[in-house]
Amino acid sequence: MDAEEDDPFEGMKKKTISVAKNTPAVVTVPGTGGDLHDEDPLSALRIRTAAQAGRDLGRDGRLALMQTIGARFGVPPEGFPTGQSRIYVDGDIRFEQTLRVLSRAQGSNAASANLKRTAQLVDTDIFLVLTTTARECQGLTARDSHTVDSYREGGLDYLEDIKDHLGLPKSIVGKWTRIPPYESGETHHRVHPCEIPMRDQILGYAAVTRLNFKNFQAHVKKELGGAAGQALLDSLSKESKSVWQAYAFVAHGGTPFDPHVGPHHGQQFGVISAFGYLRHLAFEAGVPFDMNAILTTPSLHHTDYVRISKARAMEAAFFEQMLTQTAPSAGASSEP
Amino acid sequence: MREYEVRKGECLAKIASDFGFADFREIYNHPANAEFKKKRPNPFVIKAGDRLSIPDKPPPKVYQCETGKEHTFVMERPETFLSIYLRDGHKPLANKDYILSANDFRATGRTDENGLVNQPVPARATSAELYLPDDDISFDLRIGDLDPLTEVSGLMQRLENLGFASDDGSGFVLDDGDDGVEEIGTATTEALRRFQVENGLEPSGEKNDETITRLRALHDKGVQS
Repeated sequence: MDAEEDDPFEGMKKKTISVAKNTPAVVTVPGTGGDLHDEDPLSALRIRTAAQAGRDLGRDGRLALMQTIGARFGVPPEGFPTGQSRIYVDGDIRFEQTLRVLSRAQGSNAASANLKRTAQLVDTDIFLVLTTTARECQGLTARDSHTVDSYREGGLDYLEDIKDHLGLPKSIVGKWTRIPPYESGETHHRVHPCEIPMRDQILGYAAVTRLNFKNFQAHVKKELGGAAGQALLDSLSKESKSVWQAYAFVAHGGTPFDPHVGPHHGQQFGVISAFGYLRHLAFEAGVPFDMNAILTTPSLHHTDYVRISKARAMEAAFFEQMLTQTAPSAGASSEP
Repeated sequence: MREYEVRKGECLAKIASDFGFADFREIYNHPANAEFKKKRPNPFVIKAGDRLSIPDKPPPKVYQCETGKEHTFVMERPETFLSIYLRDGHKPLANKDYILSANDFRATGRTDENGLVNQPVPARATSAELYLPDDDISFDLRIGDLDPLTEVSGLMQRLENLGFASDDGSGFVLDDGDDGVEEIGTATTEALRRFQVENGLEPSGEKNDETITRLRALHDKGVQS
């Protein structure tokens, strides 16, 4: 789903409080005050402070930082011009919209609760999950049980087929109900989505990312042999691992790369295709195969999926940097 | 005299206003409501299903007024107001600007050093939005909806206001037992346990006198923990 023009956090549910006239009531509003001593990076206050730090950078500061991060991902300073892979919009970073929401108490409270729950249930790159969710749907700050079509509102096309393999508790997946398959107006494929609570969307992204990346890792080991494949995976930098994970989420399979057909970048060019392509380039150049080449191979930018994955990974890196800069320990170390 | 059953979200001030009484005490202090008064010592904290006797409205007072002159009439009616202490954990949200608005009223103000929003509201008001512009955060207020602490629903509302609601988003579930009496659900038990732990009480998850006393002091009297 491309939420280019939408505010993905509109309609956030407000806290309801019951009060009586002429009778005092005490209401707690976490995240609106207090001290910044919480070491938990997913606490509402930490998220809010990090997001505010990103806003305080100003347009020029944000652009400069994102371009610096982009250089680590092999992304040109102007970013990518179209669709979901756009990193810069209207002279600012697109991620500013998410920073704006997370800098509010209501947004950071809701996102914190959702991210903490997700981190407890799924072992994956939580900041990549944050940026994926922010770009796909309104699930980052959803706190109610209103249900949505996992495909129409979030791009989880085949959730019904894989939901029992995601490693999520039955108490959660049991509430995801089947929707009869239908043809997607966008891809013209038959999709098999589920009806899921909005607040579970973020869990869906995390669990699907984990499953797809796990399957991709198995493919790498199968192609190269267990030990060699593991060694190659272990050599992934933080940036390239993040891109491969994001890539596995948006295009988990793809057509095996065939050098006789040429680079066929398009709908079928999933992680398996890119893996084969980079392996082929290394072979042609007579250099050892290095999966980190996903960061340094501009020809891959012809593939939507790679551009989208890099955009998400860059935004995750941006937010992580803001969290690191505003961490209590960072403040302490800056003291004379 | 007529019988009236209180509906959800109603308080005595609103009911009195609906029946044309300027002062709710004309209903509350009526001898026919002696039992009700004993059961609900705070006339602003009553519960849906409570039964009241609404006295007949006295005939309008008649005043003789001379034409061509100005006349001043003084009508005494009790003020209704909201008192909400806003806190982040134990820290008051002091000196925060706020906007309180509903369909027929709007007020702006600033919390005091204790984080108190103290604002007159119309007797008929049943809902409003409280907005804190500095934090861009707002709340839906259900005015008059707070149930007595002796009821399970009142217990849940206070725990929710104090931030002890279940973090899994499921909220509270009010279970009706076989006998139709409200029972404490799992989420409430967990919230009670969290409240008890934070307040140094035995973490039984049960509604006992000690817990109720502490909850009343913290929520209904604004006592700092």
